This record gives sequence, structure tokens and C-alpha cells, in this order.
Amino acid sequence: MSSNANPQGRAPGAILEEAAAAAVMADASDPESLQRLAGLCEELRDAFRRDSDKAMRDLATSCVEALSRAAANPSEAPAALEVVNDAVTRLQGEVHHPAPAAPAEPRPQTSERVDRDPDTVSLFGDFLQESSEGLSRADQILMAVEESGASAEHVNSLFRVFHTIKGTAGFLELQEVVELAHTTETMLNRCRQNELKLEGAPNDLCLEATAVMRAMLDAVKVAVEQSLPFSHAADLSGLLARIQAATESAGPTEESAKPAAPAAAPRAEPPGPPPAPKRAAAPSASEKPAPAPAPPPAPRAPEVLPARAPEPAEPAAPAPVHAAPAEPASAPEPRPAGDGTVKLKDTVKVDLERVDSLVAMIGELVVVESMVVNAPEIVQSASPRVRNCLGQLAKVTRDLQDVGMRMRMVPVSGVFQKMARLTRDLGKKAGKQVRMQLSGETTEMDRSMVEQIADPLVHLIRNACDHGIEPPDVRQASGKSAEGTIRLSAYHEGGSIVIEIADDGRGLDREAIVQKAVRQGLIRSAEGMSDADVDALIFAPGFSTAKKVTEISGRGVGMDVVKKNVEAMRGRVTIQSRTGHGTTFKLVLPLTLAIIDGMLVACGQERYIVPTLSIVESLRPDREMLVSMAEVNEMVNLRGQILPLLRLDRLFGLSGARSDPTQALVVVVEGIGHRVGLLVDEVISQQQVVIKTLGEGLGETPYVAGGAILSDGRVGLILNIEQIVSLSQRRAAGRLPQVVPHAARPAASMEVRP
Amino acid sequence: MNADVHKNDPASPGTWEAASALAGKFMTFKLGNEEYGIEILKVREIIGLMEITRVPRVTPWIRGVINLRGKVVPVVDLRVKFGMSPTAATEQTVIIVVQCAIGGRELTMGILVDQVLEVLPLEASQIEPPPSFGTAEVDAGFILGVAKAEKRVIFLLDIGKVLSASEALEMATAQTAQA
Repeated sequence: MSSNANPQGRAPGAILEEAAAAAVMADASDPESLQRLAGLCEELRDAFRRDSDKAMRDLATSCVEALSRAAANPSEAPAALEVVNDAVTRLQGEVHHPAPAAPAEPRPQTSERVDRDPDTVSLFGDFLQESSEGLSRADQILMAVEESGASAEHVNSLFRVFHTIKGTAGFLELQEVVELAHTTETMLNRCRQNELKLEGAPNDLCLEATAVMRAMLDAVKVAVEQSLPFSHAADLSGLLARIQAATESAGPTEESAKPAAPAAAPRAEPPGPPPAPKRAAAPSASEKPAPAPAPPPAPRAPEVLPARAPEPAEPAAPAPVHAAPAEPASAPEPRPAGDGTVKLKDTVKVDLERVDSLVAMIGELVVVESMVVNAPEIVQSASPRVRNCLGQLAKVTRDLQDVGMRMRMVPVSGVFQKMARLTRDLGKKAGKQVRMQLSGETTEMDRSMVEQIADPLVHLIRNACDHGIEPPDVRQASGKSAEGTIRLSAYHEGGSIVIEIADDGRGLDREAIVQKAVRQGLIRSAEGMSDADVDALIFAPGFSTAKKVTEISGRGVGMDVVKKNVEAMRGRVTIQSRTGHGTTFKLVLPLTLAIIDGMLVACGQERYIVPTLSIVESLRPDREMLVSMAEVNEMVNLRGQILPLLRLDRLFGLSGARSDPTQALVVVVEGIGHRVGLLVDEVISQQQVVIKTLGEGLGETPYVAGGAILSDGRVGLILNIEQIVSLSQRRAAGRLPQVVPHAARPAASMEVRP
Repeated sequence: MNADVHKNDPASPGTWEAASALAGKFMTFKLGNEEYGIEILKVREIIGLMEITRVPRVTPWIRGVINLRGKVVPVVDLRVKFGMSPTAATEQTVIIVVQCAIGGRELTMGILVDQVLEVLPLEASQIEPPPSFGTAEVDAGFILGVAKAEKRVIFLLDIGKVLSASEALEMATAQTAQA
């Protein structure tokens, strides 16, 4: 792999890799690790026998000396490690840089510290956590397979684990991880197609792959935490070759031969077949990871949010990808380095049920607290001590409630930003200009849902970049701007949260979908299928229309993952596609738990919560502001703006409400772009409430978005302003939904008199 | 509208073998003067009448929702559901909280009854198939069987079917409240 090949021993490059890894992993307080490192340094020193290597030999010698000092005197160990780290980094530069024959791309000499901006670090944190969970799952599955044989579901799950790791590692540019994941995935793909049995050797190889991958991820974690360049795992080629051999033992077929190529070939034939085959194709897995993590942070100067990648969209031919690694060295870091070390945020995954029960118990506590405070015996007590304690109790309870609420809710912005970043990277890889527009990032979702939504989003965005958005020249030829747009938005709709991914690309190719589905035996012909039916075919497991399998996407697991994940959240996916105009995916998710700011209003005996976001203003109208048409259609003249006036008591059939608007209150609400005056008795208070579903047994609840437990323990209903406003719109259009024909009433059939 | 959806094939008397499967403990309660029973395993708890928040524009037999220790639970007025007059709150009125799987989902609901009686063990010999009410209009689908204990007649309810019927009736939602 290096021109300094050494006939007697290993190539210095290989030793260096190992030494670099050992240096990173070495612990000053662990003599054994130091000893191992010393051994490697000696080997390294001996490898640089040639006169021309004198400078390097000296470096290696200094390492050996420093380490032997450390062995004699443990207090010197940290200093020795510094020396070694420094030397190894310099050696890496020396070995790879001048090597004339090595096809290595010019590799900037990295300093011993690599600065990563906080966003990147948090991305790594998420990735590492997800991946380690995925790997544990994979291990479990593999064990189960060993015991009782493999089912299709086993293979699919395994495949997905590696697929997901590959995807994320790909955009974090962890090349070795990608390679291993891709190779393993390729083998599993053969299993999926029943060309290979997941037992014996393939199973063992999978287990080995997960172990190696875990070690690599651990190394990545250390590197990130200490702001070090990524070290390199011991040579992967052996494992890769064995996996590849196992893959091929089943005999190549049309579909699977292709995926095998880029994965297995990287060492053998540099330019891999796929269009954006990344630098993996280049000589050794060892070289790129080091500079890799740097490029993303650098150009992303302020925040990823603005969607438009801050750097000028360079004419995105695949070429720049190769140039990319050169950038980081000179690129200014967005923030001062500081002392350089960062700590990956530690998180604990807690069983959701526990969080749920905690939140429920806090709810009870709040109720009990208010019962105590309002108990007559307590109210009569004049003791300042009791008052004081009660005050504290109230405060602690509120705080606790706050924490409990926040525990489950997180804004989608974190995921959205990841996606913006992903889009940028994928666009570049695919040689396309893609811009991401975000909206509604502050929409809060149940945290479990935010976690589960990430995977589907990655797949959808990957698909949009890979298949949806056309290359710039094609776009221009069809009269679109060269830059494609992917819109990612989150919003509340009815009782649901909607995440929408819309691209302005070519739309779904229904003909190709049908052909493929027929070939795969999913359908016999497209006869009698509507466009929507055809579109839905892409959700079938194993379905993919991508003409080639690329590292980015095209194996067809994507959509099946999307559907599975969304359905697991009791949501649904809808597709809208117009040929030539783009595709819109809508993930409609139930609103299990969300917090809103609300105004508590009273009307008759009832109290309702109006989301504060929908309220424009509230006022007590004067007589002259009220107008009516044909006596029944009341309106309120608000500074020249005529708004329909809806009486909440009439809408809901309540009694005892104030009938004279001048004695009541008009809450001006806005929904779907229209304003309506809602007549209520009074506004009681403003408060934050946790939205709860009203229970499934209710069926449709028009005009009510959900419920919330009020401070007195009663259930308050949250009004669905959109529906109420649209009601007034329909009424304005002449349809009066309030007068439903009685014939539609299903009454009689349910009457049972036993 | 639900008559056909939820109708059991009325079993002919004598050949009815389901009785042995039905035998077990039932929670019995009163609606007016009539006695009903539901399987004890479906009953989660019995709570006294509490403040029920009315939900506008849903089916008439949904009395509203309650806060059951932080969870919002719908309450069905079983009397209205069976075509009787709405339950009038008395000292004996209670809410039986039931939990049953409907369409694969666990559903927790409260049912409002006039009076709760006892937990009654029933043997297969005491249970007869549901009667045919003779008219297609009436849905006997949510009656599991009829039990006789001493001189009492107890209608055993398939509470899952009773409740799922309320879910299916979306059309009724629009006209509960006339503005």
C-alpha cells in the first residue's frame, strides 16, 4: 500500500497505522498499553532502515526512548504519550505525503488536534449511540440465528442495521466504517435474496464484523472526545476479503454483483463503478478518515439552519468530491479552538413507559397539591410556617411538572438540522445542487417520535437527492433552475403532526415502478391501478427503482423502513407526485403528547383551551361593532375589518352562556389564513398544558384537538381553531354544516331494548 | 347502520356450546331496573361519579371525558347507548372503567351505570344464548348471553363490541349539538 514497502517486515505505513491507533488508545496509567506502543515504535524504527528515512527513524527512536523512560518512571508516561502522538502524526504526514507512487490524494498534514464544531460533535454523539444500539441488536439477532436459524425478518433487520450505519457513517465520512458496513450489507443482501444462507461462515463473519465495527466506533469516540484525528483500525482488508469471498461463493447474479463491486474492489481497482464512489476507491482505507471529519464543519460557518449551504454552490460535478479533502487544512475554523477537548454529551435511554408513568404521577401530584392547598382546614390555618411550606411545595410541584413535560418533548430542529447537513453532503456526492428549506423547526414532538422519525427522514431525503432531484443540466433543459430544492417542514394539522418532505425533482417514474414491480412479482400488471396505487408499490420490501446501487441509496430498503417506522408510531405516509414537478411525502403522525401555550376561556358552565398561537387579540365589543346579516349571520367590525362572529355556546350547544356580546368577550382567532371572532364569556388565565388525546373510544371529535388536565384536575378541551375557522368559511360559502340532514342520523339501528 | 357489522349469528338454543367458555365471574350492574353483566377480567376499576367534561359534537352516548389519574378517558352513558333516557346522577351512580382490546388496540373507557351490584360467579348451566329480538333493527350482537341466577335475569354484555360500535359511528358526530 505504500511505496516504502519493506521486504523483510511489514510496511512502515501499516505499522504506523497500528501505532497511531495504539497511541490514541494508550492510557498513561496502563503500563501494558504503553508497552504495546513501545513495541510498535521499535518495529517502526527498524522499518525505517534506509538512509533516506533517517528523519523518520529519528522520530521513531525518540518515541522508543520516551516510552522506555515512561516504563521506568510512570510519572513520565503522559509526557511520553505526547511525544509519541506528535511523532506519529508527523510520521503519518511523512510516510504518505512524499510517497510518489502512492495514488493517495494529497493529504494535508493534520496537526495533532482537529477542531470540530459543536454540531458535528453532537452528530457524532448521536451516530455513535445509534450505531452501538444497532450493533447490539445485530448481535442479538445473530445469536438468535445461530440458535434457531435465520428468518427473512432476521436478515432484513440485520440488513437495516448495517444500512443505517452505512448511511450515517457515509455522511460523517467515516470511510472504514462505510466500507465494512457496505461489504457486510452486500453479503446480507445476498441472504435477503435467498442466494446465500445466513448460517455458518456468513453468520460468523457478521459477528466478526459487528465486533470490528464496535472497536472502530470506540476509536472514533475517543478521537472525537480528544479532538484527535481519526486513527485507523487494524487492517480491514482481511475481513473484507473474507466477507467478499463468502458473498461470492453463492455465485454472482445480476443484482448483487454490482453492490459487491464497489465494496470489495476498493483496494483492487481504484475508480469504483458508481458515479460518486467516494474516495473509498483510493488506495487504503487508512488515509482518508483523518482529514475527513474536518470538511463539513469548516464551510458551515455559522449554523446549518439557513439551508442554503454557505459556500457558493460550486458547479457540482463529481470532480470536486475528490478535491474535498484538501479543503479542511486551510479552512478557517468557525470557533476558536479553546483547549480542544470536548465531551460527547452522555445520554441515558430510558424506557418510555417509565417516563410516561413519571409524567402521569407528576400529574397526580399536581392535583393532590392543589387539593391540599385548597382544603378548608389548610385555608383557615393562619400559620405562616404552613403558608411558607405550601408555597415551597407549590413551587417544587410546578418545577417538577415543567421538567416532566420537557422530558418528553423536543423540537424537531435537531433532526431537521441533521437533515439539512445530510442534504448538503448528499447533493455534493451526487453531483447535484440541492438546497434545503426548513420550516417549522420549533414544532415540538414527543421525543420518542423525534428519535424514530430520523431514520425515515434520512431515507426519504436520500431518495430525493439520489432519484428525485435531477442533475443541473437536466433541470435546466426542462426549464427549472439548476438548483433543486427539498422542502422539509413540520406543522400541526388537525390532531396530528405532519412532517413533509417535498422535492421539486422529476417525480416518481410510474412506468419504471410498474415494470420493476412486475419483474419482482409484486403485481401481474398495472391494470386497474390508480396512480396512487402505483406510488404505494415503492413501500414494498426490497423494492427499488434505482438503476444502480450507489453508496447513497438504491437498495430498496429505504421506503420499507420509512413505512415500518412511521406505522410503528401509528402514523401514515402519503405520497403526492407529479411527473416533472416533484414528489411530496407527508408523514402524518399522531399527536401523542405535546405542550402548547393556551388561554383558558369560559363559556357557560364549560371551560376550553384556545391555543395561544391562534389568538390574534381579544376584546369586549361595543354595540356599534356588531353587525348582522339576515339576523343570524353575525359579524364583528374590528377597525374596519369585518369578521364572522361565532358563538361558541351555539356551536357546541351549551347553555348558560352570556348572550349579549357586549357583556362577553370576542377572541379573534386565526387559522388557515382566515380570522374569526369567537364569542366566549371570559378569558380565565393563560397556561401551558400537555395535550392529551381524548381516548380512542370517542371517534371523531370535531372542533376539539385534544384534552388537557387543568389545574383543578378536570379535563379541559383544546379547541381546534383550524376546524372552527373552516366552518365559518364553509358557512360563508353557503354550506351550513350545522344543519345536517336528519336523515343521515343512524339512530335507530343502535337502539337495543333487551 | 351497525346492525349488520356487529351481528353475531344468532345461535339456536340447545346447540349453544359457548356457554362453557363464558362461565366465570361477571361484574353485574343496573341500568334502571335491568341487570347487566360484564366479564370481570375486562373491569379495571370502579370509581365514583366525578366531574365529566362534556365533549361537543360527538355521539350522544359519549357522556364526556374524565381525568383518570392524569389520563383522559372517555365515558359512555350506557343508558343512552341502549336507547334509554340519559343517566341521572344519584348517589349510586358509578363509572366502571373497562379495558378491552378493540381492533388490536387497548382501549380504556368508562361506562356510566346506575348502580353496581356484585361480582357474580356464573356456571355454564346458568347461561343461555342471546335471545333473538325478532327485528332486524335491533342489534343483539353485543349480548354474549343471558344468565339466570335465582329469579334474576342478567344480560351479559360483550363490552368490546358495545364500545367499538361507538367508535364506528362517525356519522353521528355532526348532529349531537344543534347550534
